[in-house]
Amino acid sequence: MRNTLVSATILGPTCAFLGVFVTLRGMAFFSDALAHAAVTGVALGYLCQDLLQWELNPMLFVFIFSMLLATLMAYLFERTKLRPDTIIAFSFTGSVALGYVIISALGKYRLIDAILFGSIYSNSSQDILIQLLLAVGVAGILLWNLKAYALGILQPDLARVQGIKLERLNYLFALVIAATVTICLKMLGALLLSALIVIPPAASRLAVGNFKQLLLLAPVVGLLAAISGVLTSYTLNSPTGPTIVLVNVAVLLVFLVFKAAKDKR
Amino acid sequence: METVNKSPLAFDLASLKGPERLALQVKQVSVRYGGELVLNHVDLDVRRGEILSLIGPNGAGKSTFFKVALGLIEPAAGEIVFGEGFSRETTGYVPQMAALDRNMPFSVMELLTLNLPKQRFWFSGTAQRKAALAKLELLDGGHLARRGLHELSGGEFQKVMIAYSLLRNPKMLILDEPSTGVDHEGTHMLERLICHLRNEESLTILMASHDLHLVQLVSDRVCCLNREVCAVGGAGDVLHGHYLKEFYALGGRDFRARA
Repeated sequence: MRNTLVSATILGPTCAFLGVFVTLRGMAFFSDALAHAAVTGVALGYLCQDLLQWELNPMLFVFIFSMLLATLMAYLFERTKLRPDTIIAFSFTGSVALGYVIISALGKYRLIDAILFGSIYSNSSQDILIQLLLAVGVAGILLWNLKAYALGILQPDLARVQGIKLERLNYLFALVIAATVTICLKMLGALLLSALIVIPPAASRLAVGNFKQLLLLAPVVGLLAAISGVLTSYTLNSPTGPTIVLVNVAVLLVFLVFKAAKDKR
Repeated sequence: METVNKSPLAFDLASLKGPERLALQVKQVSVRYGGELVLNHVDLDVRRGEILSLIGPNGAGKSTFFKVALGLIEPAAGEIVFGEGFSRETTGYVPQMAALDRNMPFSVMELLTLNLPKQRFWFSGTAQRKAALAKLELLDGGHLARRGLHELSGGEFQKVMIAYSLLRNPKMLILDEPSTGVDHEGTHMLERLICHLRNEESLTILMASHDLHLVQLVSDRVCCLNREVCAVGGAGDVLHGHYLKEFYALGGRDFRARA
C-alpha cells in the first residue's frame, strides 16, 4: 500500500496539472483516445516478445504507439475536413480493436482486465522512479513554456506574431500526453485514465477566477482525490483505479453543488 | 483624449519624401486558400502616422491582408516591405474579438503579462507587471486589471487588447474590426482612443471595420477591399463615392448626417 500511496501522490497532481492545459485546449477526448490506444501498445509489446523473443518493456511500445497515433491524428486534423472528434473516434476504436485481436491471438485474455482497469498492486520502486521522472518532466516542460501555451490557448495568432513556434510546441504537448498516459496506465488502466487528467482541473475551474489559481488548485485537488481514492479502496477493499475515479467524480459533484449555490446567491 | 481631434502629427509629414513616408508597402500580394484566390494582386501603401481603414464585405480578405502583413500567412505572390523604423516586431496586432474565447479563465493582468518581452513565468517580474498596469492606466483602464476576461464588456475588452498590443512599444497598430461587438458608448471610447494613439503617441494605425461611422470619424484614408483593391483615397472621397453602393447597397444613405 505504501508504494500505491506514493504513486498516487506523484501521479495525481501531475495528471491534474497537465489536465489544466488539456481541458482548456479542448483535448480531453484526444488524451482519452491515446489512453485507449495503449491497449494496442501493450498487445504489440507482447506480440514482439512472443514472436521475436524481444524482451523489451511493453511500456516502450505503448509510448511509441501513442505517439504514432497522435501524429496520425494531428495529420488528419490538418489535411482533411473531418471533424476532430470523428477522427479521434475512429482512431481509438480502431486501435482498441486491433489490440484486442492481437491479445486474443496470443491467448493472453487475463491481461485485458489489467490493461483496461489498471493493476496498481504490481508497483515496484523502479516504477516509482519513472513516475517521479515523469512528474519532473511534465512540470518542467509545461512551466518552461507556460507563456507560450497560455497564449496558444487564448489566441494562437497572438502567439505566432511573437515568433512562438506553436506547431512544434503542440507536438511536444502531444508527446507529454503520450508519456503521461503510458506511465499512468498501470495505475488506472486505459478506460479510466483520462479521469485523472480531466476531472481535477474541471472541478477546479468551477471555483477559480484566473489561470494562476487554476494552475495551483488543480494539482491540489488531483493530489487529495488520488490519495483519498487509494485509502478508500483499501478501506472498502474495492479496486483501486475505479475507486480513485469515483472519488474524483464525487469531488467534481461537490464543486458543482458549491458553484450552483454560489450562483444562486 | 477628451475630444476627437485630427490634429497635425508631432512630426512634419510633408518634410518626408518618397519611401521615407511609408510605414508599410504591400506589393502585388496574392493569397490562395485551397484553390480560391482570396487576395488578388493587392497593392497598398500605408503612410507614416496615418489612420488607414480597410472596408469591404465579409470574406473580402481584410483579415487575410493583415495576416500577410504580420507574417502569419505566406503570400502566394508579392511582397511586404516595411518602411524605415517599421518591422513586424514593432507592429501591434489586435485580432477580431471573436477569435479569442473570453470564457477562458484568465484575468486581464494575466493576459497583459503574456505580451511582456523576455519573461517566461509571469508569476515573477513585479517591475514588468507595473509596466503592464501603467499601460492599462494610460488608456483609463486601470480598474480593469483584476477582472476576469469574461467580466469585460466589448469596449472594455478592446481597450485591454489595445493595451496588450502597446506593451511592446509598437510604431504601428493593426486593428481588426475593433468596434464589432462593442456598444455605442464603447465605440465612442474607441474613436477617442484611436485618435489619441495617433495624435499623442504618433502611432500609424491600420484598421478594418464594418462600422462606417467609426471609419468616417477617425480615418485619414480609406481603402475599399474586395479581394482586390477597389478604391483607395481620402476618407470622404471613398466613403461617398459610388464604390460603396456596390458593396453595401446603401441606397444613398448619408454618413455625414450620422456623424
